[in-house]
Amino acid sequence: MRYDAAIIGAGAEGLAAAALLAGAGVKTIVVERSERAGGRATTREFHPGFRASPFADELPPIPADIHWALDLSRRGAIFRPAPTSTAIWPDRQSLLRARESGASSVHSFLRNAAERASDLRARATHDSNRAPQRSFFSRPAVPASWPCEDWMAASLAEVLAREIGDPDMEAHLAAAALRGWVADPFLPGSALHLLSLQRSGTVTGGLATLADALVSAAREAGAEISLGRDATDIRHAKGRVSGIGLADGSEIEARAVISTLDLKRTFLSFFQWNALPKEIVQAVGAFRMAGTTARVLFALDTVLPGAKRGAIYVAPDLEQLAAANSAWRSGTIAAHLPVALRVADDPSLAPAGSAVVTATFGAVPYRLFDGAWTREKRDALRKQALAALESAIPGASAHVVAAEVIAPPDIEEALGATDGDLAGGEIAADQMLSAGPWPDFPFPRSPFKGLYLAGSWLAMGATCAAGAAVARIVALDLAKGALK
Amino acid sequence: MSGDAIVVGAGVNGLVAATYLARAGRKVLVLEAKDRLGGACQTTWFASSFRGPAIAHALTALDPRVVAELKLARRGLKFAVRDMPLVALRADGKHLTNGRDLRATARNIAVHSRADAETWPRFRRELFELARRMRPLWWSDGKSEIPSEIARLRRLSLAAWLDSRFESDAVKAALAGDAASLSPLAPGSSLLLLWRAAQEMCGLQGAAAIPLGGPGALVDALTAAAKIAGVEFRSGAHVSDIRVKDGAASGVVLDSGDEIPANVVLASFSRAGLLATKAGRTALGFSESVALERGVSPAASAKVMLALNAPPAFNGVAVPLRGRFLLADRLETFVAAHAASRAGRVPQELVLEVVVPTAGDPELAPLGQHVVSIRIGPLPRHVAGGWDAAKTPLAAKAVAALDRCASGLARHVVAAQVLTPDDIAARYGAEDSCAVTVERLLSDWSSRIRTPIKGLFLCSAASEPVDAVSGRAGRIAATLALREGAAK
Amino acid sequence: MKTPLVRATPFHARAAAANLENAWVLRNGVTLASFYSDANSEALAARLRVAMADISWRRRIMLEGARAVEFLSKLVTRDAAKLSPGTSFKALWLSDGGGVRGADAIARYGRESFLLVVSAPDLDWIESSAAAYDVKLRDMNDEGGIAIVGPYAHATVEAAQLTADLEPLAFRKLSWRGIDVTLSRFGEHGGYEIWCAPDDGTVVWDRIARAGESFGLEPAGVDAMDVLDLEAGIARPGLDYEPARDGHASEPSPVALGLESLIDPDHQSFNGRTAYLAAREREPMRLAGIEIHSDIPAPFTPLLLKGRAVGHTLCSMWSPSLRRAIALAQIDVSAFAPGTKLTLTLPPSRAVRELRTAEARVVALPFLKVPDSIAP
Repeated sequence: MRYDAAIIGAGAEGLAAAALLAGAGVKTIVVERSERAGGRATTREFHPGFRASPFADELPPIPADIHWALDLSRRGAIFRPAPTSTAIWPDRQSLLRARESGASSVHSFLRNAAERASDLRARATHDSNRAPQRSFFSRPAVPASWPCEDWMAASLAEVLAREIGDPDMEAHLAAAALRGWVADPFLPGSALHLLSLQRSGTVTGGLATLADALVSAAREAGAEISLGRDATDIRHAKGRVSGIGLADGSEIEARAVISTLDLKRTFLSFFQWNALPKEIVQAVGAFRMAGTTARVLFALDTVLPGAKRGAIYVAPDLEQLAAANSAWRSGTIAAHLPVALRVADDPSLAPAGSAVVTATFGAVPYRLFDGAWTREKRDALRKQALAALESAIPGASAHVVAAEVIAPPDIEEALGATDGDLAGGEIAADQMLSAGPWPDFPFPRSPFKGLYLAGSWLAMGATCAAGAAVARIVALDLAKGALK
Repeated sequence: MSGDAIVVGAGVNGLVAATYLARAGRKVLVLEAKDRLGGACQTTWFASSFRGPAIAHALTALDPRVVAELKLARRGLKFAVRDMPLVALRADGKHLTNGRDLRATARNIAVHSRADAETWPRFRRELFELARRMRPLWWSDGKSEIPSEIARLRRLSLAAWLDSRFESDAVKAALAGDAASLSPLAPGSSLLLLWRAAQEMCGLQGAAAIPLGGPGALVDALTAAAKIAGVEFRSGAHVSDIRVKDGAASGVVLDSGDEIPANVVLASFSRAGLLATKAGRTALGFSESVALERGVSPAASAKVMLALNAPPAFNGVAVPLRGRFLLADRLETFVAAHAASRAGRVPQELVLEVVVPTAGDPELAPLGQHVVSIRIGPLPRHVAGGWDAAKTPLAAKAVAALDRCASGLARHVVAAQVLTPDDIAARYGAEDSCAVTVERLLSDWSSRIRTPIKGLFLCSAASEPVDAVSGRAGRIAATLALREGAAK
Repeated sequence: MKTPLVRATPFHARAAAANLENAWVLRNGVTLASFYSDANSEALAARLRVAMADISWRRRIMLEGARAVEFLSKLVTRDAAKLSPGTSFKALWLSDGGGVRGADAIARYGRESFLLVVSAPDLDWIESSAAAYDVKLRDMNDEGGIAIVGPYAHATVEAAQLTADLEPLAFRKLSWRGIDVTLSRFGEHGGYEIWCAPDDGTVVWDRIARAGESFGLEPAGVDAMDVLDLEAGIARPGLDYEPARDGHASEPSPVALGLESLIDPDHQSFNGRTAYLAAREREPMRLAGIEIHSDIPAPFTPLLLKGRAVGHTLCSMWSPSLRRAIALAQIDVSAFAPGTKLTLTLPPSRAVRELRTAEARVVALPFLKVPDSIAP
């Protein structure tokens, strides 16, 4: 069967791209290895009766225009912004909302961070609809200048100290910016993590509802979604792609192939290494992945009525974050990993009278210096999460009836994310403040004609944005006849 | 324009600036606060009958134009060692000697990794070529064109760059040793390696050299050149303020209260030092003043000088004694050292740079005996409990680390001198140094040398992109002063 | 500086009662009436009779300290030492690179205390710069301010029994029938300003409303005052242009904003002077006024001379006094002579569904000259 576009991976990005492409009249098929679509927008029963999203409780917000274009509300995906988060120390507490006595409003700082993030995405994808607003005094910009370049030379601690001026709130924000990630907050360049301070949110009924809504949008637009089919290689000839080969021996011919997997996985899994030109090999080899996230899911046999909603950061501390970074770099699990807890506030996730609590760890290495991820190592994570739960909500740990640990290798296996890296690449200045490793082929393009990459860090700050950006460009290329 | 010129500070840059001004016909007076000239560039008697380099022990960045134009060779500047190979000492004895012969170095590297040995010649060539292309940014005094690679390099961390090319810790650590002032993880730290590779000593790119007689010999040659050009010196004269009239420099004020008029003043202050004067406070902008006051505190270093009664004998493979020795195991050692220094702690694993000046200059010590100069850094500027208490443990740790690579060394030590960051600041006035940042590496000369006060130019070590003995700042300050000089 | 995020002015109760369409706008974190009945008639009232406007959104900061004069000398572009207590002047303050950060009034209250009126918030920078001089900042934002503007402003103030023998740019603290107020004449529109404590807001409003009744006094909303400011040809920071916020910014330059008159050429020690002097030769843009014989153009609309872009509009409004659309614009020095004819494009509107070109003519600023005062 011949298609115009074939998309590998039916996660949020792939489904959004499929829906938009099919809506523009492009014959589209999505192939997905697992039996369920959704990628990380999924909810799983980890213990009889208890459900949780294994990889993240919240997703970054979906840009409004994509929300309307895909009619997601009508399809049942009601996106609820996350409640303000809390940071708890043994003797005090701070809530992430504007403080009247602070030196500057936390809200305006967060809004500023979100604006910069969207400027950065716009620049990376040359999205003229969302081009950064220039102050009307700007002269033609020097081409090399990128949004957020000042954050590249600044450390997280320094920017927070300058903008906030309240040590507790600074530690709270640093922990929020690094939730699930890792960095030394005192090192220049760590300020880039402020870009992940988004007003993320959940979907009523669990993240799987979002996946269902996207599948419905894609199918209604005319895209074909093929589950349970494993793509094994991307067929190409003379520098341009011609389709996808699948594990069952079949082949899909397509003029454009969109990969929603990260850069490394795309090239390492779907191509023969020796068939790739040298500059691709070098760039892919030099591209750095950083698996840092681990999750622990708890099922409790009681409700926790007094617990704060939203993320709970347990005793955030800048020095502790720096120490966790050192430990991560040397492949060990720090004694005090940065952790964020969340008591699920969606009643559909647990039976009546019970609760689900999730813990998100950052600074968890994919590769441990002393070998594999054994049961002991996973247990160590479980114990740390339990201790954090107990210190945040005294007495809660006694009610835990089941726990599941999801370590970076598990994330890799489930999502096809190299090294378990949920960001699609290390969050570093040279990898982020650039339109990709090939200056002549800015994201989402690649040196292969017809191959588009939607699995980059662009998805980090906004769900479905990378997919939408790719869809736009692929539709344009197809319309221009560039992919005959 | 003619008029008197005053140079404040007789460090290398001050001497260079004074000589250039005098050769162009100005009447120049150099005011030095201490009793001896040379600033941080000294050869001192650190033990009876042993001399050694006080702070900088190998020259890597002396501007070749200064050497040529001031005819320093004729004034007595000779070199004991011209092209010191870098020797990365490894605990297992498989030391890595990195010299100018690419193939010999590659053979050395092959012991650690065949792939790295194959990559080495290509990498070295690319590094030097890229560094040469960056030179206009760092060497010229006009508006320089920024090479297009800058956009990528200013974001690239040294660790990322080295990790993408090499696999062995030995090679990566050896290269990082030349860029130790910044954490290898900082974006833009790759520029520091390029800066080092862009320098030229004795006609060789990226070389390190030791003057015959130690760094003091450089100062002697510069002083001679200055005196021949007619420069006047006054020592024991500390300048406390600059006199400004109508936005232009009109002289300096000494601690004693005396005022000396001049309409060109070249000062060895950093911008933070300028802020400390009343004139600077008025002239520097608010944002710059606030930023300077908040400024990143520079990484500090310590010096240990050992007098040995026998030559140091390194275990393992043979290494040239005339090399520059680096003790740092992996890239992580540098990362951890910077993180510890930032937190105010002495790093668990010290990063050491060691030089044996007597290998090329036997006159520094009695016959058969040797001097070993150790530079320890990065270190925190202040430690909990104070440096006085931490002094001896630090020195012991450094010597122990060296002893592991050269067993028996500790037993041959007959005398030692330890200079902590406090000592260095007190003795050599290096308090005024400025943190190396990527911004500084990319800034152009005029933002570092010009001031809002007409006729006042800064030519301290902080006016260079990296704190290093080079004389370039002095030369450029003098050029700017002659070109723009004072008001009519 | 600690301020609550959103607040109502001391006159809010009265303003709400008069705000017939419940039209409010936020400026500097303060809720103000956008218009009370109709912006055009309020602007005309201010030109022909007398109007009163809530100007509490102008932030007032008291700078106090032994070295306040020294700090201010460096901060603003005119010499604060020459200011005598009880008077004020208007000046700019620039960032290190010569870019305009603010342009407003500075009043001297005493030997060591000055009042700074700031239209666009820049307090963090001023505070951090003042710290080095041991100058303390005191926020006077709780106070409410009323501007009384128009030919009969003086008459109104007299009728309200406020002694009104004040020179332009002077101010005085008075006790006015039991309440403490500050009466000043800082404004550009030849009127008076009254500043009072938050609790006295309604009293002040009522007294002035009653005093001005016989002269036809009307409350004027923010829109009307903006028209007046535009007619006076003054670009306002934060509203008409984006002031420099980066410490080393060199834009916007005073030349490009027509603000050079606020810089005293003999004052040598202000922040950013070297950069400003170096840049002014090279600055190609100038501030000019244009009249458009059509609808109001959008901000930043390019202006064309014979098809070549020579500048752009800043803010534009309909001036009821001049009965035409006027705009402030930045135009290249080659094309800003009064009388030059330019073209611009107007966006589609509900009435006209397509792009139109319109003609504009450069005029000298100010659009309207206001006499200092007209006694009744």
